[in-house]
Amino acid sequence: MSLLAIFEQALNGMIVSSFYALAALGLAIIFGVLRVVNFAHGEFYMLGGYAYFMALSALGLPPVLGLVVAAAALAIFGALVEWLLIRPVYDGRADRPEEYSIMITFALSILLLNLANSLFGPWPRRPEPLFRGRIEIGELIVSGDRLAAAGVAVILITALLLGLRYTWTGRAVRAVSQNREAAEIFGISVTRVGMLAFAVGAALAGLAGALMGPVFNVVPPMGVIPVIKAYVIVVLGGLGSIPGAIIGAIILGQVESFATILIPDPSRALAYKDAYGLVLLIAILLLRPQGLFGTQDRRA
Amino acid sequence: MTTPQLEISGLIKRFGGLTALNSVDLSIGQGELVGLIGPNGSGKTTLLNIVSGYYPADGGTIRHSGTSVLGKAPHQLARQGIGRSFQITKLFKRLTVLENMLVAGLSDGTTSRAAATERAMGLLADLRLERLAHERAASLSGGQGKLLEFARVMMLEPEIILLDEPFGGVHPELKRFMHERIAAWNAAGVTIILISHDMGSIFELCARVVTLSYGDIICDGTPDETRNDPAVLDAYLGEQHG
Repeated sequence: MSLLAIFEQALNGMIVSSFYALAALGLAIIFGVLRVVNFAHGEFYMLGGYAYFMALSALGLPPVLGLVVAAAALAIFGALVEWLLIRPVYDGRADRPEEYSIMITFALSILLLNLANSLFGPWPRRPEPLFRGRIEIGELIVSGDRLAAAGVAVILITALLLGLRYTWTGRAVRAVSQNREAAEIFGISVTRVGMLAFAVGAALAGLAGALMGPVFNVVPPMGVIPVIKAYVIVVLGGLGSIPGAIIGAIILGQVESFATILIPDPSRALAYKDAYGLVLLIAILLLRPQGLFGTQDRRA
Repeated sequence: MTTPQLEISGLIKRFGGLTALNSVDLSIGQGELVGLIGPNGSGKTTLLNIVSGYYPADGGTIRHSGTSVLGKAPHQLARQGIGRSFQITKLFKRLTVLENMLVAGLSDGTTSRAAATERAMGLLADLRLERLAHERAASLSGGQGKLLEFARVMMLEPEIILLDEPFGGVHPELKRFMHERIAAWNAAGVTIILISHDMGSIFELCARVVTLSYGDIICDGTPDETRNDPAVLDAYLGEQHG
């Protein structure tokens, strides 16, 4: 394999990793703060795609504002879902909070998928991308919509990490994810942080969907595969770990990218692409079930 | 007559068929340092958990400076001036020592970052932790963790501190240092309720000792009165002690 081919695969892997990271970070933040595995995360991703599509087609907004609308819509939607459906998990109203959280997010996933089918139909929609055309880097040719979407994803991830590290709200989110009881006694409203985490998690999923919509089309089941990859990533990185989700996304993106070119027949190679993550998931569960950055006492 | 800082009246807590607190009445004045003792399962930590908002009560009232605390969330009570520590240290292990302090110090939303950092560094110096300010809390020893929890409670500028078994597993030299700090905060006007199985510490620090047994207050007096109270001896040693 030539050096150029290796570089091309690595770049493709990094582009894909940035989208995976965006979706997985939302899942990791929600799990870290609320200890809820959000089975409706893929549908939040899908709603982000539709919100972006509607912002551009119905409101006539430019793509950048479309992203803002998608993020805001999903943040508000996430906050409402937390308030109406998730709060019983930790306010004592649910007798069996872990089972409740699984059932309620799973039911929400089915509901949203069917609602989207009824409202928008099963037809694929292709919204305007952030950037059209191709970008040439030496001999490498990269599609502009992918590279622009990856660039936005990297900016968003960086902003999120800086916010978590340097703002008081970010510290409060980290404190609640590390010790909920102690955070409460030091004056942090865990209810407010929980709502914020769910809103941010939903907005990140929605942004990932909005960025991917122009690349892979917007259809009701568009979130199914990305969310499976997001689960693989958060398990690989360690449930609830933010650095783990980023490293996990990079690993999965690179594994998919390089494993694909190891199979000589290109049509078969692409067919197996989604299986590599599942193989990785099985391997990590057997060898290091707590993930790369997880701790052994963390509850699954 | 001045309003007590903490007034507990007819407090009842049940866990299923078990009555953990059986109509407890307790009044604590501003600046008191009260020891709360009793055998395991007597209701001490349950009482602290209700006062700090972790458990709802099944009956009775609790007033802090005349204001009811029942029904309020722990974070609201923390901002209202009720601080507490836990039996098992609960640090934010992946945050630095200073970040642990700032989480508490900035939670009211009104303190500036500079003022909170200055206060945090002062408290860390007071507890001999300033050189560890930028270390992760996970790297602290057990004793240093206890001191950080103390410092973090003080970041809230509390009027009342509820200390739950602060001396468990602590080296005697560190325990002596913790005694000094507790006495100094109390001398500065902070009301303290101290739960401990370490009778030496309780009798040395507290002018008033309250003894709970099976959810009832069986003795409320000076260390000498407590030591010589037959009901206290019965509770700890059984009725056939003498």
